[in-house]
Amino acid sequence: MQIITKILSILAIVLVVGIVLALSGCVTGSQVAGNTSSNSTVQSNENDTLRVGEMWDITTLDPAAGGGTTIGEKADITETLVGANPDFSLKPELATSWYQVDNLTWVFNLRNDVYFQDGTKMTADDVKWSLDRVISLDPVVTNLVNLDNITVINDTAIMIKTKSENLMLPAVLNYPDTGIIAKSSLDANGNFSKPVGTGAYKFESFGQTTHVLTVVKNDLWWNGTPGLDTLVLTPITDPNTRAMAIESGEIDFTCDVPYNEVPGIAQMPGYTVEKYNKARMYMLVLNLNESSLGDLKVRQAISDAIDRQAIAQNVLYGMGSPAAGPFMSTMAWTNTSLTPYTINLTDANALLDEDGWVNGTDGIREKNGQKLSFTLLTFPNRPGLPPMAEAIAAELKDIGVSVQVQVETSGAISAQVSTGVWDMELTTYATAMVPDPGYILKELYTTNGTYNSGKYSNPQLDALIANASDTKDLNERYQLYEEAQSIVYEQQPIILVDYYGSDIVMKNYVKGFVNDPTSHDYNINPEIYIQN
Amino acid sequence: MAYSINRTNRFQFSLTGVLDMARKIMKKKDMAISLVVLVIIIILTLFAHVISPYDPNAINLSNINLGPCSAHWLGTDYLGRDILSRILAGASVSLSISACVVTISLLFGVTIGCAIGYYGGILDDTISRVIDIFMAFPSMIFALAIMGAFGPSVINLIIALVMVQWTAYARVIRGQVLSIKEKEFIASVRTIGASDIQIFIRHILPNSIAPVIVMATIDIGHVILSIAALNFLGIGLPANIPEWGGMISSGKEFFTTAPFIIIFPGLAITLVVIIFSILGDGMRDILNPVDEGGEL
Amino acid sequence: MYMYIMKRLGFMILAIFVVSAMAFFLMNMVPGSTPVMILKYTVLGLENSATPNQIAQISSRYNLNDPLYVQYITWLKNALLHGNIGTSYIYNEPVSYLIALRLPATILLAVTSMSIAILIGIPLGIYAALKENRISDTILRFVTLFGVSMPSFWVALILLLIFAVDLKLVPVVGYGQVDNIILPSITLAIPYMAIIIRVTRTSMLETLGNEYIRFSIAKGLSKYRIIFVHALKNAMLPIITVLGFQTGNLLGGAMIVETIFDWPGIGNLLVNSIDSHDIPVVQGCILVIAIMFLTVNFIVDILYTYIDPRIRYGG
Repeated sequence: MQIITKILSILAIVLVVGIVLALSGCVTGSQVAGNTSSNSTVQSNENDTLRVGEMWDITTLDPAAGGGTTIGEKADITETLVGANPDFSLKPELATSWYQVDNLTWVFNLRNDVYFQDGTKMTADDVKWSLDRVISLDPVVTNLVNLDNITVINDTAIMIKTKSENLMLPAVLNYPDTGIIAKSSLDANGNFSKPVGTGAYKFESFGQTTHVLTVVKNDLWWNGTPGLDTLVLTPITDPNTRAMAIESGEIDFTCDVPYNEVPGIAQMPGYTVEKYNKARMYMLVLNLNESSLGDLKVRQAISDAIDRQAIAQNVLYGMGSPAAGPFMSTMAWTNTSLTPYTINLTDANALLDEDGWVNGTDGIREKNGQKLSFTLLTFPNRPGLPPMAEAIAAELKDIGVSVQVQVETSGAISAQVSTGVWDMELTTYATAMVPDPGYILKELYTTNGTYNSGKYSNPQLDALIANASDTKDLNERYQLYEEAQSIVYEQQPIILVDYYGSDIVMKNYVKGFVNDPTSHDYNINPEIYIQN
Repeated sequence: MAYSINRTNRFQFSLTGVLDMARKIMKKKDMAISLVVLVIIIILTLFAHVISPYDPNAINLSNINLGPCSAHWLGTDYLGRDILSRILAGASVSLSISACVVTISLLFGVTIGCAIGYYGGILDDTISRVIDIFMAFPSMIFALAIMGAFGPSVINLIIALVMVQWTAYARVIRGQVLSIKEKEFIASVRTIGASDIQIFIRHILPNSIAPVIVMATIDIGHVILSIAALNFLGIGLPANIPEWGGMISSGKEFFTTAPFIIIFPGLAITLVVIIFSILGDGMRDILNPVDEGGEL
Repeated sequence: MYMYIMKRLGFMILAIFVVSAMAFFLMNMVPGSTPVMILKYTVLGLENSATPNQIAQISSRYNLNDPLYVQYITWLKNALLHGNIGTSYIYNEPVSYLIALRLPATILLAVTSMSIAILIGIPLGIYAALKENRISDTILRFVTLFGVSMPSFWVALILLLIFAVDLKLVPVVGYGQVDNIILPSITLAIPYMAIIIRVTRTSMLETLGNEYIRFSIAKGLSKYRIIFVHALKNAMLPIITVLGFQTGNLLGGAMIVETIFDWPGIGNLLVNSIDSHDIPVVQGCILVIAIMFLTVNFIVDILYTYIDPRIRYGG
């Protein structure tokens, strides 16, 4: 009897304690700054704070560990030596000018009026330290730079020597991970503790549990006056939740709400919706070792059967447009004579007939006992991909090609592709991660290109691209790259589907936003302000 | 053939047993209704491709996100596919995979459980510890880890869920076997000279199988929930196979503008799980097994 | 009794080892995928491929080329001798730190859900028992049947739609205020509430039918005293048993609820780290979950064997 009473009382105490804790919310252990967890319907803004719903989880603020895009483009804490114009040509940023001394060496002249957010002046020593660090720690940057060493010439100039000629080096120094940070970003033990940069906003706090990043106006900024007092980035990884959050007024600005919701939100009073094409493409990557896909006619037939316009309209809800070559028409080096692919079922069927693929009894074409039947891999993190894959599969069925869609995690797909046993993959690629045409053309289409998982090999194209990357004159270089674009447009080792579009949704009182097509997802330009 | 219970709690194959059981079923109204609905569902599922108004995988990009209307009773999804057809197709997927999982777990678990219960000794000790270790883990997390490691496919899903489920059956049957094997009538049968196998099949098994059957019935519903949950997390089945959890997962992006895309699959899951729960409960009352206290 | 406890503890420790080893080897099933995934989830982005150089750089940084058993034994040694269960590849923080950050959130969610389930479930169960077979009882039984049969992720979405989007009663995102915990805990609580209602009802019915109850009535004790003092106490045993054995499901269910509501708990951390092959974190989470699960089961088992004989004698 007494045991039971004891147990009951313990239970009761646990319950009461639990409820009290729940109500007081004090077992959270998180630091929450800004207005992010405030109660639902805050319709206006005190204190010029912009609350942004960010699409990716913020796992690190260290640019050398993958936090470069977050602290560079979205939170404006850091800046790079080299900037980019909307047409992807390069412009000065922290560096004023740059030139090649010899094949392996570049000199970069730096601004002398830049201060870090900790008050110290940015010198060439600091820049060398920051670049050395990121080049050694960040495997992507290591690859892109191929560094020999960096020397300080004087307080405002550095010399970068690479192991092999790297004409893309200035473009590489636009890559967000190379954002310049101060030594005070590390703690006494040499571990990264907080980002101290040169940008318009400086680090204030980061919630360890909530991953909410708060930055405040940097009065020491060299390039003008930032428009906001506070900027808060809240990771909301689910696109639907982002839409709900901006509809309920919990955030003021976000990117990539589900495409189908965009028309609805655009009609709601108080919201601004803008659509932009990004330097990213939806691509159908093909395994050219798979015999039928190695056949040009088959590839062209597949491409002809895809209704890119309908997909852009009804699967992407207008967030995207049919692809021409690998580059958007607005980029400085695009071969604008290439026109967007259009659907042509007659041609498609004709090509397959010509090639000897006969319609089988099950509606699938076959030749010499082999069927035109493929598996299509894709992953769910980009909302447009799974429905697009399903749409493509259905469209190909119309010409007698059978496609089975498999949605798997990106890791599983990598693993499968590396075994060589795969047919097709639907994915997206950033075409200007480094704003230079050579980068993506080399990685996607040359025989040893890193992203050339289909193993396309065209020695003529290899030579063309190698030649182009060694050509110092910019115009000549762009000419050669345009030739390369024509080749891949016609050969279609990778079937380009649509350009990637994305939506920016803001409350009406957010003004001054300027879209940066070179950004990874979106760029919070420092001129943004809140209109009260 | 059916089992029935006479006063000594033994099972007997008999025609009167069947009639007895039928009468009992009819008396419990909810079980009767469930049985009827289940039969209807099974028929619908088996003949899904005949009955379906549309091909569940046929897309129609000009008819996306239509609400329920006369052409599409349950509406269309984000690719214009008919939801009713997809629900019927999903039914066969969920039911067949679930039935597979439960059957294999049952066979596997019962075999092992019987063996260790009957023979006892070191075999029992070690395997019971192994079972305990398997159960040292919340099942959903275990399944998640396996699927995460091996990737989505029908076979992997079945293996993962069987790994999670079999231990429960083993435990239950072991307990039953332990309690029965000590009973007197077993000893007496043994003195007559019956072999182990004979004792097993004719005496021990029939008396101990009841709670396992109850468990299995209810489990079919729970396995369907697990399949839906794993599919929802994206690590269950390959995406081209229509399955209710997967439909909810891919439809959730549209649920503020077209909520019916996820409402109907969810209702389907709920309905099927309820049916099997009622059936299981009913079976428990009918078979009247020795107290197992496991309505959970 | 003492021997039993020692045996159980010993078994628990064994189980934890086996489980953590299993988790490690499972996650390493696909050879070579770990460095690629680390790159993809930190610096590379999901769509880009890793170059052999990059893979080599990461592999040497984290000793990923050592044979699996060497890696596991190193981890084990660190864990046992230094209490260091590793560092996350993705966050670059110690795993113990990450878990300490996230564990309170999950416990908060679990405790709140259980509290809701108990506080609402027990009274409803008693009510159902008292009104046995009348309309309200039947309605409750149907409702509870629904409760255990609905998929939790579906319930979560529907509740979000109604309460956060349409009615705007609770915020959609956030963590740290009371508002934020309402929907997740209700979603998680529903199946348990249903179970508790059923179990309470059943055991109350059983107890109320007992002879000694009639004896008490004859003795003249008030109805309320009988119900709430005597009957309920005896009915508590199955309820406690159920709660204990449902912990596993609670943890599993919390995982799904956390994913949907982006609740910063252990379940969420586990799902994300399985996705990104952040193996140290996976091992850490599984360790902690196994310990919690086994401990609760252990306590319930002890309570069960301890209390059980007493009940029989109408205590």
